[in-house]
Amino acid sequence: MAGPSVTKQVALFVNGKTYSLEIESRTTLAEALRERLDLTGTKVGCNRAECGTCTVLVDGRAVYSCTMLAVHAAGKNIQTIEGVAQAGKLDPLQQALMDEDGLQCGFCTPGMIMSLKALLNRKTDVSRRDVREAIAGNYCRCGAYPNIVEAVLKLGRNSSGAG
Amino acid sequence: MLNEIPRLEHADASSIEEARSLLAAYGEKAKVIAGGTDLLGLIKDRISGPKMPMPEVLINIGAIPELTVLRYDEARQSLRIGAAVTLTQLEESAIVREKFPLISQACSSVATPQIRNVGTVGGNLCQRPWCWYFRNAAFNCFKKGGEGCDAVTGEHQYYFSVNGLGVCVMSHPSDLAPALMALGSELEIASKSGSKRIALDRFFLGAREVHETILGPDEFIVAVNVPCPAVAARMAFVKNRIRDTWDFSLASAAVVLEMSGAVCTGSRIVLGGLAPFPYRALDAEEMLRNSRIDKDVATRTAQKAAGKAKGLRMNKYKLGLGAVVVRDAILAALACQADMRR
Ligand SMILES: Cc1cc2nc3c(=O)[nH]c(=O)nc-3n(C[C@H](O)[C@H](O)[C@H](O)COP(=O)(O)OP(=O)(O)OC[C@H]3O[C@@H](n4cnc5c(N)ncnc54)[C@H](O)[C@@H]3O)c2cc1C
Ligand code: SF4
Repeated sequence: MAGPSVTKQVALFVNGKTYSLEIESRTTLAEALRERLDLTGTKVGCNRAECGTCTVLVDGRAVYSCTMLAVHAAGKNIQTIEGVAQAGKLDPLQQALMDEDGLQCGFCTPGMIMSLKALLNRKTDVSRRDVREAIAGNYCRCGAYPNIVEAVLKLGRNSSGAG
Repeated sequence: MLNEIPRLEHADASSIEEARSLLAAYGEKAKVIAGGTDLLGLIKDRISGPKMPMPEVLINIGAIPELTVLRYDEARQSLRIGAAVTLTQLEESAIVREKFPLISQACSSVATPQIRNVGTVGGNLCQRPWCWYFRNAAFNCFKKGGEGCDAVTGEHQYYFSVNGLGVCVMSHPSDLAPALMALGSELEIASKSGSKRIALDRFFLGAREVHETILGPDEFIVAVNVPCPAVAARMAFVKNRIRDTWDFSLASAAVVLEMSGAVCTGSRIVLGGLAPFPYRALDAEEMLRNSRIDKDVATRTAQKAAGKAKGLRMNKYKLGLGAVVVRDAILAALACQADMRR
């Protein structure tokens, strides 16, 4: 058995790429992403599991990366905001948020998008309640919630062909 | 601010045995970690004191296979919840929704999706107080080994008790505990000398104790066993909070009614957010025995549940709120579609 240690060799599987690195055990997933992998799209606001801007997906589930140790995410499938656009093209969700003014200052947006991706990856035909529940752990201090919810609902209507 | 967690050691335990020997080897310096949603915040804020040493070695029990299993045992008619099962797994489980709906209701009322996706059952039962004086390094209160309680003379309008008052007046933050207790759950605990079982009823300590639970520093929860009610039962969990997300309960109630036709033959009523531990309202349970429940009976029972509570200077409104959630939970349980039974 490996005894307790201050640093660890881990493999982080982020947006389809494997990164092998030695990190300190105390490093949060947010710190590993930002400081070690240069993936600075993930923001850190409160650093206390209270604001939601650090949200990323771990094995498909939204988590606060500021309050998860990176060593606990090792070997799992991590998705960040950087992996959402494909081949230089915005994801339909990103486009919908822009079209509907679903953001103002934009600081909460990466986390909002990841929470919404967690929902949309599991369910396409979403209700207003589903959307509100999905972003219940994300603060938007500009108060863009109504437009965020509308953008997602509109996206659902468009993709189901109902216009 | 980044890198708020001080340098510390970390080990992934791969078995109960390994976790046990690591805890024995590192003693007071060590602390088990599962999701870390509670513990990492305390460490970042350097919440410590004479009776609350800063952990230097974290022992991750979250990946021990036995702790991650959620299983319904048909033969024993009992649900076994591994301590490292997340609140989301528990909430979404089909068997839990079918047979123990109040567990699912309680889980879904905890915090936010992100916390439920990571936070575990064991961590939820063992979370430390969310009293804002406790969570502030400037106050060396009783719970950390200091003298008195800062909340009793301070701001205690929200997450504080009206019942079971002692030295510490925080209200126990767990939403899951009242639900599991109302179902008569039992804990499986790993300790130095082996494993032991104890009723959840006897797990939490009173307001004159520094620790919230009976667990020693070298012990941890392995699983929670929830028996299926013996007779037809109806159940519900109701939580009142300031905002409909993120917030701890101001008052909550978990109710299980055992029914024989239209007559309630027995019940368990457990309150959250109102005492330093999940509070069983035994008087109210007694009042429901062999009654035909209607709105009037529910209201009177609920008043009894809040009966002996005193409240603090700023939170007496919680006496009324407690009665409201108990009434609502009794009526919600009664309206619960299916009778759960063996
Ligand atoms: C912003 C916020 C809001 C919240 N709101 C609510 C709420 O509304 N309702 C509610 O019920 N909870 C709430 N919580 C608490 C949350 O549910 C807990 O933080 C979570 O369940 C803890 O689980 P964890 O696995 O992350 O525990 P950890 O942080 O890993 O551990 C918590 C504590 O339990 C100990 N521990 C962990 N597992 C075990 C075990 N198996 N045996 C013995 N000890 C163990 C640890 O040593 C530590 O002391 C909230 C938390 C936050 C941060
Ligand atoms: S209520 Fe409990 S945790 Fe809060 S200050 Fe008083 S003793 Fe400390």
